[in-house]
Amino acid sequence: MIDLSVRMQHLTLSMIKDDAAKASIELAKLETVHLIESDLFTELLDEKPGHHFQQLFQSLKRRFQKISQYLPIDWHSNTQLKEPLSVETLEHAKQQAKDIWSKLSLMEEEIRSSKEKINIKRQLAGSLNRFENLDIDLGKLSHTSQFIKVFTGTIPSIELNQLKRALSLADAAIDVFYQSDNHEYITVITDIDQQEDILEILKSAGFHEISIPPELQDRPDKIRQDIDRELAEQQQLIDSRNLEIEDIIRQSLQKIDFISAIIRYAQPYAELAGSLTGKGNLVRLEGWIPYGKQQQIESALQAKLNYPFVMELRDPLPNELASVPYKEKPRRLMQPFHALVSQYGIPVYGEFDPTRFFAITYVLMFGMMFGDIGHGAVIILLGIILRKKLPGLLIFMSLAGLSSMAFGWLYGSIFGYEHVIHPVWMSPMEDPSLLLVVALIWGIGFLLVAYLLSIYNLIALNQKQRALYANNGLAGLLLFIGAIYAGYNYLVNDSFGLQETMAIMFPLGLVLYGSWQHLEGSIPEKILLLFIEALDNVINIMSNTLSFLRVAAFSLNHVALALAVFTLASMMDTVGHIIMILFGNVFIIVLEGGIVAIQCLRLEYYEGFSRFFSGKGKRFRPLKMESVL
Amino acid sequence: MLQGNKSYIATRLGILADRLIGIENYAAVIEEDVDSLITRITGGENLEDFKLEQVQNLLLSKALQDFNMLFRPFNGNEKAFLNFAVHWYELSNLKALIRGKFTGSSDTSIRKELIDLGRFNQLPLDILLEADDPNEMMRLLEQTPYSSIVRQARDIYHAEGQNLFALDATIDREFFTGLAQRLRFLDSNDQQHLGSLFGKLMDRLNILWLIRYRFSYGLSPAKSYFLLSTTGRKLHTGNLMRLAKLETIDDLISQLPEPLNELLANQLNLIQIENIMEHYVIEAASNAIKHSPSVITRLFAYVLLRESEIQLLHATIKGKSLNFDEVLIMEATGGNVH
Repeated sequence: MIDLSVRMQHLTLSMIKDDAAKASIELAKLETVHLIESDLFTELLDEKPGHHFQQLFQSLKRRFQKISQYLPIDWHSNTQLKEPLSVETLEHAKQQAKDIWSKLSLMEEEIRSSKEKINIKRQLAGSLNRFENLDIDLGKLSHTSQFIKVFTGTIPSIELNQLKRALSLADAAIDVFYQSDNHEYITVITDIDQQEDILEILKSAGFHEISIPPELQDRPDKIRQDIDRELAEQQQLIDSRNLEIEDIIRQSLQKIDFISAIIRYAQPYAELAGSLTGKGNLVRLEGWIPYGKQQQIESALQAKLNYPFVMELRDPLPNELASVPYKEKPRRLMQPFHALVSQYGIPVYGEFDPTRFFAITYVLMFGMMFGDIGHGAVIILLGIILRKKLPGLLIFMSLAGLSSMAFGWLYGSIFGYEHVIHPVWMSPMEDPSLLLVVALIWGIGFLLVAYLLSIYNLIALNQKQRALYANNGLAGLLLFIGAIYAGYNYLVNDSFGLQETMAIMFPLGLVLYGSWQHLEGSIPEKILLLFIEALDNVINIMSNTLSFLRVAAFSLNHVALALAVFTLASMMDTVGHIIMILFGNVFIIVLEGGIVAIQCLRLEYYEGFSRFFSGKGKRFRPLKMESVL
Repeated sequence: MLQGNKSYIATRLGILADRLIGIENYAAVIEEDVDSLITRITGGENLEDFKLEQVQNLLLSKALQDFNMLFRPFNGNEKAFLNFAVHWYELSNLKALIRGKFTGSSDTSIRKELIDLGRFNQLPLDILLEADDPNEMMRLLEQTPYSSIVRQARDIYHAEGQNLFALDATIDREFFTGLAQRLRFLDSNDQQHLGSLFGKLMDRLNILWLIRYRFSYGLSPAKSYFLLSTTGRKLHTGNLMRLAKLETIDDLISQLPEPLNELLANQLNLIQIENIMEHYVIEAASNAIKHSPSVITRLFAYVLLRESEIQLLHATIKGKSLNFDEVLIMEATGGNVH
């Protein structure tokens, strides 16, 4: 019943080591092998022949990524390589990448340094406004004489107190002459003999010296000119370094192209290397391939490999189902629903793929909750308008819209008007109780299918004990049926006797028996846990079933919202009336439509999937050539 | 923090604290053979595959798992303080990276010194290791939470002699200043109890650093004082400034406030001083974990005790595997003091 997934076979490929790189490229071109790490013969095949290659590749790739940020946006590599890649080729490419990066890094460092200088100068320029008002001789701030040395500059405010105390130990004087947001402008005066020690301390405190040229010492306005000139110089330096970077890239394009091609061609082998085991000249890899691809792989390898190789194939063993990757058959109609199922999880190989069940029930529930011919048509129209930007939405919105239109036809509702067309069935407001009963029956049907699917999945995944006794197995199904039967008799016939009690207690006993087998701890602990579990099971059945009442509630809500819009519109003049009806409908489509879409998803995930779908499968990820840029 | 969460933490902490090696048992642990020590760490599993290089990483990863579990119910300022405290371990990665890159060590040898901190890791180690030169590494470091030390790292890298210990001191100082800042955001009750334990830790560190800076590296009083971290419980600003000016270890110890001067009386050996001060902190932490009414103080005490246990086991196993004399190991780990 795994009709939506592709059947898989286990592949073991043994070959001569020298052929491994070629084989990796051929397999990557075919995109048919999902590699796995082998756990067979690990003692015998204890070497990891591709490990060094893999490390080299990672290092080369990271280095190339650093270079690639400087490449033009539209650049891409076209070089094709013929020879298989060796460790030596990778090492050569790594050295080339290192050479290019060293030049770029040097430029980058100079740019950084210039930017830092610009920041400092800008800070200084900002503070000069204050210096002018202070009326001080700036020359005095950078004075060096025979006996004293004066340092002038900035430190982070957080360092000030510690610095003041430290300088007092060296008998150096410190004065703060200006404070900015988080920096202090300071002057430190010290004995000339101690200047080196003081400078060391200042550096530890993050000191930036303000250099004041001697000829401008007493003229703040000239200092500003000087700063502006220096800022321009630094900016020029940055511009010229950026030009040099462009130049380096231009001159190295051929090498970069070559490195990029090497990465592209080495990538499959590097990926494969992680799964490769071997001894001496023999290497072996394992993976999963889609059924029927054996011939294609064999032919491709025969055409390219120099030495003989051995391919062994077998079906998955019952105990390894969890590790078999899952690959869905391409079905365009199911694609958007598959994406939503994948958000919850990937089916384990052999597990029932819920996509089709999800698609049918989701579309039906959406229509039931949002039944309106006009609104459904708008949803389809939106899907058509957005088809280029969001192609996956067209099918999804078309089906949801069609369902909405179909139920709108049953309800006789078009853009909220309930009396324009005659309902084929009835308007939701006509008999809300009947609608709630229908929703409840729908929920019971939905949950019954979910239980059956769960039993199927547990058997398919070789969990027969659970299929019998678990709360989502046969015992759980019987409990659900028993609870529905008892509930029905109690509510409709007002009877709850031995028959109803037994209908619940017998399957509940089976569920608890199943749980008892797995519980650990002392007997009183186990009894307590079982009691809690019994309570939990009964409450869950009730809450899960009642949860489907929202299907009816939202269809009533839809009509109620439309009524509210019409009531507001009726209070307005003709123009206001039209605007209100228009915006009211937009509001209903966007807000209520969105809420209904989410509520349907919630019912699917929590009431359906959580019961029968593990979602713990692995996606089929074949080895393939990936573009570097 | 909710009362329920406090009770939960207290219970878990009680269980974990019972598993700690008490200070009174340190000497007995040092006398155990390597196999029994390794069994202590691994719980007896996979003994054949165990490699001695894994000791520190294994000890640390187990400790971090426990810290993670204990810190989970906290939020806000309390969580910020605890997470920041655990980043102490990351500083050794940071120092190893900077030292390795500055001295041109190979990536493989730098990697050997790095500790895996799991979710507590803030440094992109792989990216930093891939840096081709120290300048690139420092540019990359600027994008990490440790950007504040980059400027000084640059000064040191471009200066002659590359005075790396000054950088280590800056890194430590930044860390403890940051921790002290976060402590100030806790509620007043926690601040009071935690402040006392934190103060003792700072006393220990400041004494050791002051002795190193002044008498091992020969720094001036001013520079030595500047490199010290936030003030401690007994050693306040005034004390530290006065001590920094002293010319001999003997003078320094005799001028320490009580009970530190009595504890260290006649000790001129730095290792012994270190061990005695460690004992001073461990005793305070052991006391706090049992009696402190503040949960966060007890947690911080647990972090300190666990760190001490890691050091003890790591040093003992390493020493024994290198066939060091037990007396020597005892002296190095402080087993003789404890």
